[in-house]
Amino acid sequence: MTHAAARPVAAPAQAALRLRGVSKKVGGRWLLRDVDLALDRGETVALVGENGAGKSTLVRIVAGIEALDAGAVELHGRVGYCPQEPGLLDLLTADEHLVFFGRGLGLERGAARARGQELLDALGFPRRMRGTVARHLSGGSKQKLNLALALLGDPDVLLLDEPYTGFDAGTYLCFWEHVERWKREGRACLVVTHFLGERERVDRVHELRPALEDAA
Amino acid sequence: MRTGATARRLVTIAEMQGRDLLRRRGALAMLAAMPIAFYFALLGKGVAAITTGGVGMAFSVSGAALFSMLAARRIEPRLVLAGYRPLELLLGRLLLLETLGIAIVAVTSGLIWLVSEPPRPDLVFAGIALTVWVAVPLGLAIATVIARELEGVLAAIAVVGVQLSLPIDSTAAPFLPLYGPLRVLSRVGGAPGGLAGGLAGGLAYGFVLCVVSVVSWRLRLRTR
Repeated sequence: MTHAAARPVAAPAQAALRLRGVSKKVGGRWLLRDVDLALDRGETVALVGENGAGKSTLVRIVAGIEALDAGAVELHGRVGYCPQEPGLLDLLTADEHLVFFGRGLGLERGAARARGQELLDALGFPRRMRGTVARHLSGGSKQKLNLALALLGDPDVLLLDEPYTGFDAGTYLCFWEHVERWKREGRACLVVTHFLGERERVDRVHELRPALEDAA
Repeated sequence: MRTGATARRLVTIAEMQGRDLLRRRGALAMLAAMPIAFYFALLGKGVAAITTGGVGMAFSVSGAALFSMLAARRIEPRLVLAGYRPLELLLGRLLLLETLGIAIVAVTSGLIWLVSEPPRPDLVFAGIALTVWVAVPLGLAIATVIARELEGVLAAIAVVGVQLSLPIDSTAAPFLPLYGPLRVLSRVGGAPGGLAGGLAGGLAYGFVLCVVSVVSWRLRLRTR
């Protein structure tokens, strides 16, 4: 993997994300109850917790694609969201995904493609696969495209839900080098993870515990 | 300025949806063949063959609309996060499907014109085009309200199937979405009667289904 061009480093300790009392019911039961969490710019936080603790749901709430039942989410800056399952259209190529997402972000077709290719190169996405439809990409390549789409809008807050699924060992290590770089660039990163080894790579660990109390 | 940007985004959505659909060659072939197959199944039975062809068109186009929505449901929240408005996603898809539908209408009605030589060929085109106008938002509305493949397909089959089985002069027929188009198609043999009711009914039903799709879609993609 190579590194993409660096952007100006933000001033430290600026709030990027604040969650206050975030609660969410699923199927009549509280999945999340009174979750408080804060991230500053240039900070990386690992979100951990057992299966079913609501990590992915919390990230979707922060991304704004799932509603909350109580509490507040305060975001400063643009969000980039990389879901656990690559949300791709099976019959579109990598280039077409870049144009599709780039247009939404207000980029011209050429600019979206150029910026996206720079990101894909940095993530080690094979150039020869750019014209291949997503259905025929390997799991790791899909995930690299997924990650590139999250970064396309030059986000201030990165929400990464187990973003290395399908990566080989080398790509996995390079991913964490990228996280280091994003941190230096002043981006706030919230990374959902299960791996204990990753706790050394982040500034803080936030553990989500299952909400035990049933809804009234 | 903003209108231009919105238009470019709508075209991008329609383009990407079109690229996706064009790569589904089998589905595309069935999409075009279904109304023709329905028509030929009753060939020799006069106007009935033409109205049945219209129902085949409704099955085909509403199914395409339904699956285009359901295939993209995982990616659409991310597209909204990327900056698209939910309404743009729906309108872009509507733009593509109506355009594609009109192309199929041209082929189907041309074929019917050549084979059946109906006294009112203009009404063949108008009736089948009106079918597309209603069937596309019907598929979109079902997909936005139900949002599950099996249930959605069964709902589409139920609505179009009940319409097919009901005589056009039955009490319940005017309440179903394809009544207007079928009424127009029933006049292609030159039978007497006004057309305004059928045309207006079809246009209104299509518009109402568009509104249902938009409202349901906005509720589905509503977050905080």
